[in-house]
Amino acid sequence: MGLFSRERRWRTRPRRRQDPADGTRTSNRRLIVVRMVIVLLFCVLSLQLIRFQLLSGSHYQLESEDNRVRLVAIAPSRGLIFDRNHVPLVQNVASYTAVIVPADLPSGHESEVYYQLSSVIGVPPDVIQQKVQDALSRADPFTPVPIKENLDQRTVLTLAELRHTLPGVDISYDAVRQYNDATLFSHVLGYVGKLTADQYSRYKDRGYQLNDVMGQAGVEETYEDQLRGTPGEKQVEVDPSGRVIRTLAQQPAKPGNNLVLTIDATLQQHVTDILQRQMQANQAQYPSRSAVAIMMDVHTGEILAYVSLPNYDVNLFTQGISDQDYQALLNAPGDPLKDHAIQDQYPPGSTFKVITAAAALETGVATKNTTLTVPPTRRYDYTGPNGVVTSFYDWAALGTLDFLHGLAMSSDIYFYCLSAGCPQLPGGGVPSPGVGPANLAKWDKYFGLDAPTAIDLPGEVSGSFSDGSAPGWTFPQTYFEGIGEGDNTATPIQMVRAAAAIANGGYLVQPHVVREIDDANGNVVQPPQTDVVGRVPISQQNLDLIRQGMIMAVEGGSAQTAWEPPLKIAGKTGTAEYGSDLANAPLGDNLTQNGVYNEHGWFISFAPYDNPQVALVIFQDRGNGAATAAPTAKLIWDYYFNDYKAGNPNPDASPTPSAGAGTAGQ
Amino acid sequence: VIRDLRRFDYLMLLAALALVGYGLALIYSGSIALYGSGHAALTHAVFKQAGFAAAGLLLLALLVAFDYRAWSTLAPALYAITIIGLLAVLVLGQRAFGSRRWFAVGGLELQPSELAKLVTIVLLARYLADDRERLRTARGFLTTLGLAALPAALVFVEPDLGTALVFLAVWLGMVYVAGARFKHLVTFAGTCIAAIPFALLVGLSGYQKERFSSFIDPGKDPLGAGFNILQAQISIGSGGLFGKGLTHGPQTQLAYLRTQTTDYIFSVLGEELGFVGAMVLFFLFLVLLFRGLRTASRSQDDFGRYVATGIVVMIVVQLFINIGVNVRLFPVTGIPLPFISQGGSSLLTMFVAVGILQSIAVRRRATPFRSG
Repeated sequence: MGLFSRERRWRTRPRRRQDPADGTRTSNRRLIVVRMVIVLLFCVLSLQLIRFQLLSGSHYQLESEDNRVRLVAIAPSRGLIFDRNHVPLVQNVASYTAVIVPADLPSGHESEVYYQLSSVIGVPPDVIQQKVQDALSRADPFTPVPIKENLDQRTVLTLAELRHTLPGVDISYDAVRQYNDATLFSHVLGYVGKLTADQYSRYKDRGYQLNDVMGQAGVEETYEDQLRGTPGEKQVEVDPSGRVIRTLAQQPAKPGNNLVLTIDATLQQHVTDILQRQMQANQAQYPSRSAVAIMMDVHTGEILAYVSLPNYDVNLFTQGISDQDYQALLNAPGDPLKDHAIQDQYPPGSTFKVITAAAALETGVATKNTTLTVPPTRRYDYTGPNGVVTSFYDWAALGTLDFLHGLAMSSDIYFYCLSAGCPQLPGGGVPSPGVGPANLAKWDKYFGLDAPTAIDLPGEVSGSFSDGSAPGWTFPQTYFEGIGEGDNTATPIQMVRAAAAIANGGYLVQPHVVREIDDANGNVVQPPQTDVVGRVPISQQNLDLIRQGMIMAVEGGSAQTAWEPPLKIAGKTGTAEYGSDLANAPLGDNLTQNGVYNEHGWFISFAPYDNPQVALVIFQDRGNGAATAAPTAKLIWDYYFNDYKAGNPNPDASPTPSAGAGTAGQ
Repeated sequence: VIRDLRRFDYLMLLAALALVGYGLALIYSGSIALYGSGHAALTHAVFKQAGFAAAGLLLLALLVAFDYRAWSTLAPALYAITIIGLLAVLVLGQRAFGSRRWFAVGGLELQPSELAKLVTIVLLARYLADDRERLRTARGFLTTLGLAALPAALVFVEPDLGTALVFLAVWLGMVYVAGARFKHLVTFAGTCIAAIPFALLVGLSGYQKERFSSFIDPGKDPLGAGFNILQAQISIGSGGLFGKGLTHGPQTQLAYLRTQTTDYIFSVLGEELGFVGAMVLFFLFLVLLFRGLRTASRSQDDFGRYVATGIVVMIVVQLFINIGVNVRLFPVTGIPLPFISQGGSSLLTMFVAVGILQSIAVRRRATPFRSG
């Protein structure tokens, strides 16, 4: 106010010539104003500083942290897998990948980086750009985008030197899964592979990164949670171009658990060899495309050998299979990618007669003394109410058979009679309806053939069985089901468990391929265990009858080709007709008019007969029970008891096992 | 002849030297990231700056001995040379960050605009002191404006908007203190305000427009044009009350700050020494500026008074613009922080300025106010 009035006073005498002292006074007065203005300016600056530093200080503190601190995931080392004797089956080997962190690329100069990087790793700049853009549409810009994998040593060194002139480019180290034998365990171990886009979106909440791998088949898939371990996390300080200056804090990764399989690698090797040899040896007459052999401990459900042929090279998958290789595998005969032991269902043929037999004994349709005669014509002619005659054939004129011989000789007519009755059989038949489809379905279920076994391998399917309730069901359909054809299918793993149930007193055990889980330090996380998931409601007496029928089948019956004295092996062959032209196929001849074999060969067995330990199933596509499956089983049993169990697991004595492709020794 | 060396303003010199020392510490911290640690940093930035400071101190001593009134005689010739220098730098100067501002002479970078500010102050002071009545006429007022506007226009086209504004601010401060009429000042202010939209549309070059738009919204391009603005803000803000300690600010040391020893040196201070550090700086500046204004008040003649005023205004406007850019009051414009920022021309200019102030101080009248 005072200032104002003074100014006014000054303005009232504008034209008067100032004396010098007056002018100096004005100047000094105005210099005071200058001082005030200066103080004012400093106040403005101070206020702004108060705003930034004192009022929003913590906010900017966070921004500063955000700037420089970045979280980097530390990949855990994946658990290893051993056979039951702790022989290592996989290892993790080092691999280097050139990656780009999009957020660290120099804005507006990305293409220069792409061009330079291209000259080092040989990936065209536009491909690099495409990869970065694809990744940006899926993940945040801080997620490294792999540009080229498996860099050789020299490229890694060159890149490491150039890294400072290539902002945004980094080298990532990965452990790549390598399977010691490329093919021997392909359907057991499976393989690991990069997450698919779908898997990434499903699993990223569980800490999976875009570049991570996960189990894509076999136990690698089923035990992913055990094998993967827990990723660690590293807080690093980065400069504006994303270079890591130092590590601030680190939460180390926890390595995955190790799996110990129930399978013995040596046994697996020999079973594979035998099955492969047998498949090839019989190609002329029985052009098998696929085959399965499973050995299972009848008491524990531990799988001792698990072979599905053809197998494939799992190492092809670990670093991303080429399109060409993948197409080749998809189109290969026998479908190598399919695990025929669990992933497809086949009519079990005469191996199913043991289940029909059990059903007949337990329902009272048959006893030990039920005696039927297969006519010399090996034909059962049934005259219907309308006078039409339908004929049902046996595979041979087997004559008069009691229960044990009916089973041992695998008489079709005998089991037609048990399945659905045969009132018109000369010499006295079985009254209708026999066991009937509903009871057969029940016993199919008792033996665990109606649902997946829940083995610890992915993609298992179940067999199926029709209980005859469908409209228009006729008794011949029950006949066919009763001998393992028609609407009756099963998987090899279901059949080996059913065989084990007969061997072990009627217990359905849980088949499994992983025996024990250990942590990285060798401490047992999950000890071996046996799960009994069901009990077949059959008397010991009746069970003994079936077992007796099965050893008679080997020692003088239809399965003599499996006989290897003095081994006491109980078994049952099966030769199952299948295919659409079933009706036109001449019986007793498994060659169709088209020249195509349309029968599967089966053999289920257990041994030793007196004290059963192991069950074995053989399945051969386009094979024959007695002609191919049983002889294969004989070779396996011979090896198992006379070499493997006799303390000489490698009788061929060649230093490296003689197996298929890529047999790297353990 | 020095009348009385006891009148030498030691406090002013102390404040100036404290500021230079403060600056050296900040330059050291700011250059660790640029030059590596320890000795490497010293050989580059700090030693060079300390060398300029030593030369500046020598220059200051010479200028104290030199009667400032001689500058009045030399002013027209110096002004002419300066204008030629400014023209020459436009044609021959070194280009950096899109503008031509300096010559390279024997490894030293000379910025004529730095000296031009002092020369313009001296010439304006002479014009104003020669005849007080001249300023009270419209013609005299416009003449002074013209004298300041000519070098301002030349640095504006370098382009260096910030320094151009310093010329105009210096002129304004000087004519105000010299007794310019309010009528003239108000008319000038009105014209300026009316010209702002026009200047924004036509006058600003592309880079100035870009700087302006990134000032308004730095988040639009946080990694590009807005990067410095945001990072300076983050640096200063994260410093808090006491800062993170000299050489311990991650923003500075990890080089998130750019030009952290020159234009953005205040952000280094803000981050590492915090609000308290900034207040210390302000205090030192206020001591220096108020001693400068004291010199103006007590000057034995108008010429000294106006020169001192011009120098004080020059320093205050530069620091206000520089710090204002750091704390996001103004768009980015490259003006060094007086005494603090790395750079020889700026530092020497400041020592010359203090030398002239001291020259005026030691020759002041015995009693500042003759009458009440």
